[in-house]
Amino acid sequence: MSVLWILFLTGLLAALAGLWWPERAVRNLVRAGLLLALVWLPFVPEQSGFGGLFLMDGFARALTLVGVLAALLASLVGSGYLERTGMGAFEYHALLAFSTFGLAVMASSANLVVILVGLELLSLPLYALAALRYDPASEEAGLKYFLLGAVAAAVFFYGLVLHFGATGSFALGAVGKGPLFAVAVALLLAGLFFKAALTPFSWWAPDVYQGAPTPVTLFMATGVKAAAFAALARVAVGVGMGGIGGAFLALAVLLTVFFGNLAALAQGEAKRLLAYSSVAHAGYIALALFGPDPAPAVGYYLLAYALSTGLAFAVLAQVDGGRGVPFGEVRGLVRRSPMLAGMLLLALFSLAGLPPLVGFWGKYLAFVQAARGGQYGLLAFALLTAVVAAYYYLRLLAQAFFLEPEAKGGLEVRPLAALALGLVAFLVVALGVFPGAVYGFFNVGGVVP
Amino acid sequence: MIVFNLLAGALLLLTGFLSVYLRNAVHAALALAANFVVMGTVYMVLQARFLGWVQIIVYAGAIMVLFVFVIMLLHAAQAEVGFDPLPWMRPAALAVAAVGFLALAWALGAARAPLAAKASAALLKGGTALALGPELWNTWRYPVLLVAALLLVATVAAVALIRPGKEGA
Repeated sequence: MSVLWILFLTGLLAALAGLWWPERAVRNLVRAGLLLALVWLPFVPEQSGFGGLFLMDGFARALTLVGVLAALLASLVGSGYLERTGMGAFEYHALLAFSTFGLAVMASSANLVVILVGLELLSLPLYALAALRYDPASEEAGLKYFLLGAVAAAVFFYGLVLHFGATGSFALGAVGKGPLFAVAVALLLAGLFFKAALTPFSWWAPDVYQGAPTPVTLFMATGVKAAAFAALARVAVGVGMGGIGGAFLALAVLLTVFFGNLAALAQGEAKRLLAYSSVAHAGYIALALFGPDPAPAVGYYLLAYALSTGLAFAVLAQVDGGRGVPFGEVRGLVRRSPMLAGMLLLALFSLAGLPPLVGFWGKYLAFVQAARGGQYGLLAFALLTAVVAAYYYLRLLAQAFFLEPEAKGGLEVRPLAALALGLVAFLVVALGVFPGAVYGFFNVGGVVP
Repeated sequence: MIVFNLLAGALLLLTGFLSVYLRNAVHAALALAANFVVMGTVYMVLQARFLGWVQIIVYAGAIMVLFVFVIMLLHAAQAEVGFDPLPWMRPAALAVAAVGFLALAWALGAARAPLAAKASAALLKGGTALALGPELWNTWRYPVLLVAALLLVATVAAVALIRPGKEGA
């Protein structure tokens, strides 16, 4: 409960303080609030409240930690971008805090009603954040995200109602059978597939990721995915992976890793490429849901993924001047800023799953779960596509390292942003070499009470 | 009872189609209001009396008035934008809706209400505010609090979207 209060009050104070304080003070307030939540989280005891509607178990704690980390990173690396694009307003930070609150609500419940309200609490600020640059590309991203997000929430709502009709309960883990339950499961999963960007429901992701302001894209790709998978893991395990749920998820994973990786090959824009890569990674994370003990694999993969892709988007946010990041902008990055180029290298190698970086352990754990769940066909297919993925990451890196820069002059990185970038880069390497350092925090047992 | 069911179903479908297909946004909004009123009566017949009145007062009353005001203020009555960006979408959407309708009808027809759902229906005692209030404020207090926060967050997000002073907006 305490973490929810910290996050909500941070957003509330930021929204109020923005009326009188300068943007800089609001920014620091939100960062302090997020940092407080981050350091406090590991000490929060496992608890539940409101008759079980609020459930802060180990899984909730782990995924909330990933989400808060993502929000803090988005806040720290974002301010330079905000000023360059003229959207340096306190609203960005206030909405970011509110969205993080929604993320925590969504992660810490196993009740469908609360998950739905959390989903909306997470999404509403994001729709505004995506459109916050006030240019046509950004507005298109915001509107597209809003329309499709509203449909997805409605689909989830349908599923929730039918789940009650089939089982007489809004709590996950309630036993049901028959066609009504099957339809309910399909609708619940479809609604969450949208948020997690699994393929039949992922067509929005590239447009929205490309059009939204880059720090917002960072948060969407990392924090939102953590929240979506928190709910998805609880729903998938709660309804059981034996029947239609498992078949539906297997089909989605198959399509996701195939289309995500294939479409990424054809991209000439770095944000769009990472958007397709994020779709593909959603497929790899979902693989872990087939295993008998999915919680540690899902949590650790999300941490690894949030660090790696967060680092990549953070680098792009330093390069981006408000018109996106076509390959031309990345070209010759190593001449303009060797530090940023090095971090991009670490991030993309980690995303490709090369040892000894943290991304390797995420993939390893997820693939082990899939194998223990007996999904060998899916696993082999996913491994093949992971090889394809390495090609487009290398292609982006080749632009940064082997070509002459188009734009002249160095890149200015703010001290705090540089500190955040450095810390995340350190974690990408350190957790790759010593994966056990934080694994215990994610090894939490079940996801449904 | 059968007559009411058939009539309500037909009216719901008709007003629903009208609110999607009418060209004038004001007409579509009025069709939606009619839809809400029919929905309210359906709730009442299903023993959810409080919900039925809320549906009529809040949705058909307050929200629809706001809706019509906004349409008038923005001169948005004309829904025609001159071109259809996705012409193949219309038949595809109809097909998906038909398949979804058939699947739902089949699933609901084959379903038997579980004991837990029957028990909670009896607890609601006709769905008056007297029965609903304690349930809402005791068992479901947490989501109600969260919805309060949600409304606040939505307001902040909406105000952030209309921030003045950019490009002469």
